[in-house]
Amino acid sequence: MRDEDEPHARPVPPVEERSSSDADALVRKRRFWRRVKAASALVLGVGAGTFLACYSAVTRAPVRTVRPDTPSEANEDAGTPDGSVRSLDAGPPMDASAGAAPRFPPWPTSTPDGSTGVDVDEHRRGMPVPDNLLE
Amino acid sequence: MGRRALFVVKEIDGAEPIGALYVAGALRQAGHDCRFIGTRGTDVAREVRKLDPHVLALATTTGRHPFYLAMAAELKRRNPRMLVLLGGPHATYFPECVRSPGIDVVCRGEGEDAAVELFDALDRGDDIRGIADLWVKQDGRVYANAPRELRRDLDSIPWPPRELLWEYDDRLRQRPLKSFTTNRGCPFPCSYCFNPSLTEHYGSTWKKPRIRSPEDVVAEIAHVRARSPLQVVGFRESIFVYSATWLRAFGELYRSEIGLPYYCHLRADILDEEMVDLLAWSGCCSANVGIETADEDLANRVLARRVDMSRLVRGIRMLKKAGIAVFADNILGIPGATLEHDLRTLRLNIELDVDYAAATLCTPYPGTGIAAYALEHGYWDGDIDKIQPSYYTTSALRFSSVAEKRRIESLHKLFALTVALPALYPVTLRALDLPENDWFYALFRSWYLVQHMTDIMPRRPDWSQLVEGISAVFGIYRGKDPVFPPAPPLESLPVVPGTAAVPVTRLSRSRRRAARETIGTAVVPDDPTTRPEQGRGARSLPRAHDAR
Repeated sequence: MRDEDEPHARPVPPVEERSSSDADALVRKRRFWRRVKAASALVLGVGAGTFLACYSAVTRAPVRTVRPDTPSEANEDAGTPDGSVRSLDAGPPMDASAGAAPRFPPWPTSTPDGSTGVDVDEHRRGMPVPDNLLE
Repeated sequence: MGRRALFVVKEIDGAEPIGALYVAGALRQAGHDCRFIGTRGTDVAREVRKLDPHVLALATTTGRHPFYLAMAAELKRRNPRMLVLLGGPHATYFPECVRSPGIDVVCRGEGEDAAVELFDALDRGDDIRGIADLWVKQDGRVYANAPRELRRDLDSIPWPPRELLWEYDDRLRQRPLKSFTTNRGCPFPCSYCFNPSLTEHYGSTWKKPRIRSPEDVVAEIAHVRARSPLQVVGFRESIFVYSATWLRAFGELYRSEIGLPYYCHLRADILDEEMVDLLAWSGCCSANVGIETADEDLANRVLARRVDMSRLVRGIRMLKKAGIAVFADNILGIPGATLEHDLRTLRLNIELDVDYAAATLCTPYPGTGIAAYALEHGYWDGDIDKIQPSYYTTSALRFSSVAEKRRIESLHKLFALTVALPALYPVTLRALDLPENDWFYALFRSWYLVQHMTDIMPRRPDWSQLVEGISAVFGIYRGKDPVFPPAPPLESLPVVPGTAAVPVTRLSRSRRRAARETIGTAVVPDDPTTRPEQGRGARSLPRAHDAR
């Protein structure tokens, strides 16, 4: 049976009878806490984005070194044509000389046996709340 | 004796697979044995070998279909005697996928009765080619059958047997949020939604919502609560409530028997003060309402919403005033819209002070009106393999320029956070010029996590869930889906009527149908035996597997 102390179980006065000041106060309070939470999410997101960008750069994007004996066009950054951030689909890591070995050891990737790892593709399409109702 | 069915569900830890569970409930009632397994971290091939099911049951949406078709092809190759049944939205709107090697039968629409008839026939060794709602591949042909009558009395359908999920993984039982439905059907013709397509499939009876009795709904929730922890009830039908009378009866029972906060989907423009009051009184803590776009012309002409924006705004304000958290749905990248349209939608969300402003990218799922519109006006090339598994990543549509497309996709990632922190608006405008990057995705996911665990679907803090959620924001997961070789191309098989023949009039009359035929005829050049009225099949064969 329900608990009478739970807020949702209390009788709710009809909308038109509620004082607008009460409603405004509730809305203001919720807005304040929403913004506090959004600021926290911003910090969390920037941290996670930095982690993922570094991870992607290390494991998936090509790494090139500027060679003084090559034309300047070929020494452009290995990222997207417009510049700044590398595409996740840019291809396997390359070394300047051998063109094969990554400069850093790759991060562990997740495996079917249940061990933990980073999965950038899943990050881009999945949702972080396991029992969300949207998907 | 009964048949053994194994349901394999990708992302079993997401929202509960209610549709598949309903089918399993009907099968169990008819004496068949059902099991569920997930794919993440599971050796599916080994499980299939171990359980040796008579029928492998799968359900998928368009976008996730490459995974399911590949899995079906590989498992069928290893277990040729096993029958593979595919249902879900992709099978409903694109039944030609039965031509994919590995699929034996597709089920269109609601699957409970068709599945029981199929399993009973298999059990008796009867012919399965003429079962209504099914397309059956046999003897080098595809037998297409007509839809069956809808079951009007939803209370007669067995409750979803969630214990089948819990037997697979007890963590699913521990989840504080469980999903329920109170009705099926929808009278609205929104072009981005699956409901009008089901109206085409079933006829106008789909438009008349079939509503469960409050007693049956509350009894099911009480049954689940007695067997598992439950903190939040999620109602997942398209529109939770149409009538104040039903809501009052439901509220009285729910308050006395359950008394938990619940989340539901509403259409804000049909709400009145009495309904909002009853919602708050009965325990509604948060509601998902569709704003979709701030532009009334787009909303009614392209999205076919039949909405009065002033009533919609009034409905949202009433919900806020009643203390119900508003979770707004918005669609970005609508065919014919520009970035400025989407920014107007963002500003409307800020003005309404919604608690979470969800945004999705407009996706032309086959069979929907928006897919027909996009195809007809050149916003889409008809290639369903460009549709992503999730509408939160990139758009399959064409835009006025590559830069416009990228800006809209980036706005989608920053939309919700900008609504929550309007001071970010000028920063967001500048950020739209940046290329796609991991920060945008991480910001999108971090705000989603925080707000869903607090305001939208509030639950007591659970450290393991929190750690799991935060890890996912960093892209860290336990396990991974198995990788299967891409499914071979669709076979060129003739489609012939089954005993329950498809009425030609139903197949050929609508604009939506015509568009789908364009998709089909454009990509199956070598199938002379396919009848024109049934030639909506088949998607791009050469491209079908490139995307994987």
